Amino acid sequence: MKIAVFENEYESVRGAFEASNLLDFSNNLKIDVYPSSQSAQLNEISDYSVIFIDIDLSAKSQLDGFALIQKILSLNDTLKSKIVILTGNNRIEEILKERGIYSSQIRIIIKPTNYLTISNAINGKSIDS
Amino acid sequence: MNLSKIADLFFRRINSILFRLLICVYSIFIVSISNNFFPIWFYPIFIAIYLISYSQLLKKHNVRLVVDFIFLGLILLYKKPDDPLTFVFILLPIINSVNFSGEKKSKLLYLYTIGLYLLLHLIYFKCLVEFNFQNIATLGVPILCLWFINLYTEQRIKFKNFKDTLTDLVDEYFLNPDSLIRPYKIYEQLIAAIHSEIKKDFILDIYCFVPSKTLPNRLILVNGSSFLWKYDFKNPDIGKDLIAKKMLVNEPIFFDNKNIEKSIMLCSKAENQDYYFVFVTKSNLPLMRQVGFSRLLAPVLTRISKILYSDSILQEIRNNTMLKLMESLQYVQKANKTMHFIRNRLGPFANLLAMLDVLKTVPSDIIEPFHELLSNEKERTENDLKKIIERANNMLDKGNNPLVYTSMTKLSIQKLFMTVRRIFNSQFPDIDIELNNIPEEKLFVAINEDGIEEFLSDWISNMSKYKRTSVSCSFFIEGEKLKIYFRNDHNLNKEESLKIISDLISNDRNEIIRRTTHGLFIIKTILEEMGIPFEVRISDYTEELEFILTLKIIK
Repeated sequence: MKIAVFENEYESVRGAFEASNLLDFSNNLKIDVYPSSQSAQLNEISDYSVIFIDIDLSAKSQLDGFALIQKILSLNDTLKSKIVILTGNNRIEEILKERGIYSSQIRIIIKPTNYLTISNAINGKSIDS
Repeated sequence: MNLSKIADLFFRRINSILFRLLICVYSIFIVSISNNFFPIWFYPIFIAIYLISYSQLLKKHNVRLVVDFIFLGLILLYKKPDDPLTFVFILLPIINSVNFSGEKKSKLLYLYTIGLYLLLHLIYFKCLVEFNFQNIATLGVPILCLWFINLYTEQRIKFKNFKDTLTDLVDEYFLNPDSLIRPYKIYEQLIAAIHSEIKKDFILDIYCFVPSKTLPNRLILVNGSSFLWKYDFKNPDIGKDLIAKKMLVNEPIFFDNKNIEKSIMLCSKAENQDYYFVFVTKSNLPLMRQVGFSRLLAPVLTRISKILYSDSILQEIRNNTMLKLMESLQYVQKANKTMHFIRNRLGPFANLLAMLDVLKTVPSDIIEPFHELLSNEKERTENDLKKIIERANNMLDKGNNPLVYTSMTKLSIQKLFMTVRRIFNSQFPDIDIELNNIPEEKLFVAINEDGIEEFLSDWISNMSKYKRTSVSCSFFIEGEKLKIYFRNDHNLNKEESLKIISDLISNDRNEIIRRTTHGLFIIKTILEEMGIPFEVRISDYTEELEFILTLKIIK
């Protein structure tokens, strides 16, 4: 299984992803980390089973998390269910609604997080963050 | 009609009645000692008709004046006009003209007087041949001179009245709160007033400029009756020339790339700030009227300059307040960012705890790589802990906090008293601040103005919240110390009031009150930061809560 992680501070979540991979996926997960929106081939993004997107991303990124979600959905609207937002902002739902990109299919993880939450997100289970 | 106008009308009416009575008495006197043209019983009838017509013509000034002269003519008919008694009688309306109102009437008054005098001459001497020209010249010329003096005085009064009207216009305009937002609207009103009195459509626009503080040859637009994108004064010494000559006419000026051919420039001063006013005109004024125009507008422009100067000072205060506010805002934003930073750095902590939770249940075949992950996460956690502590230390460093009141300024006791009175009266408008004695010289204290404002707002709000019926504030100057007392009664029981006092004055529970009673902690911290000793106690006599600040007086 391949997962994409758009995160510029991957070190803060590396342990959670690696523990999730070891404990729940027997190290069969292929984790591709992208620190900016332009570092990934977006036309091949549908190859991933789950796409984790940090909303902030780095200043060097062409798109922030919101714009990246919009870009991905403009390429393929069915990818909604694959997107998991990683954010430290607990008002994220309101902001998504304000920006018109809110969908119940897009899942949200509020940081700080742990490997169990990551595993649930990858398995498509509900996330309690 | 306002009260002063009603009173003025009343007194003028009294004058008018007295004047008619004087004419009647004088006419009786003349008739009784002179040879009369009409039978004697005609004259009482004339007087009666004259008085009745006066009462009927109260509001018709011009007709009333004609009636006055007809009456004078009837009394003096065939009496010698050069006779002193007769001549004084003819002059009575002019003598009384100081009480007249109306603009055209005074011109008619002199015309009627001269006309009546000549007519009486003509009738008395029957033909021109017998005219006594020497007498006419001797007595008529002074009347003509008086007429010219009167015309001149009238113009002078008109000029003064219009000058007052213009200054009243400015005063009234700036009493309107909207004027603070749109001070430039005064020019429209000024233009309208000038058009109604001096020359219709004479002024197209008015602009105000100030000299640049850094480039003396450059003028900076303050405001104007119309919006201006670009302006260019071709004379680089225009400011100096204007101050030297007081008025410049038709200077080479370009507004929005358009050549302004006709203009008048006047200058004014408020404090040390020069203001240059440009009147863009439709036509040129003759030289004599230019001087009058400058004199007419001088007081108005001085008033406008003072208002613009106050506005510029207010703007400066607003800018400084905004800068302080921005500093505080940046600090709050920095604190907000720090919280986000900490939240992100807590990721390894959260995951480490989750991993430790399952440590005992990890299958033996993956325990080794699990331990390796655990060790890596522990290392990340330690690194992040260091970064969090570093960031927290930076935030808690008082030097980085604009909301710390450690920098002191020298503030006069009067200003401090005004600040205390303003904040105290905002909560208790009917209570005066007591003062034990008025200092004879100017005294100062060292204080942080923002800090004392925050302390006063916080504590006086507390007084308002907890008082039952009585509050007071007093200033007590004693030797080299200024003591400020805040007292209020309260509903607190002894235990509660003692706890408040102990929280405020003792340092033993600082870390506890920091968490529990935020308001009290802030009050205490502000005073400690400013180094102001304070005392809190329950009065032995009144059981009121007393908060006493002690400030060291500096001269």
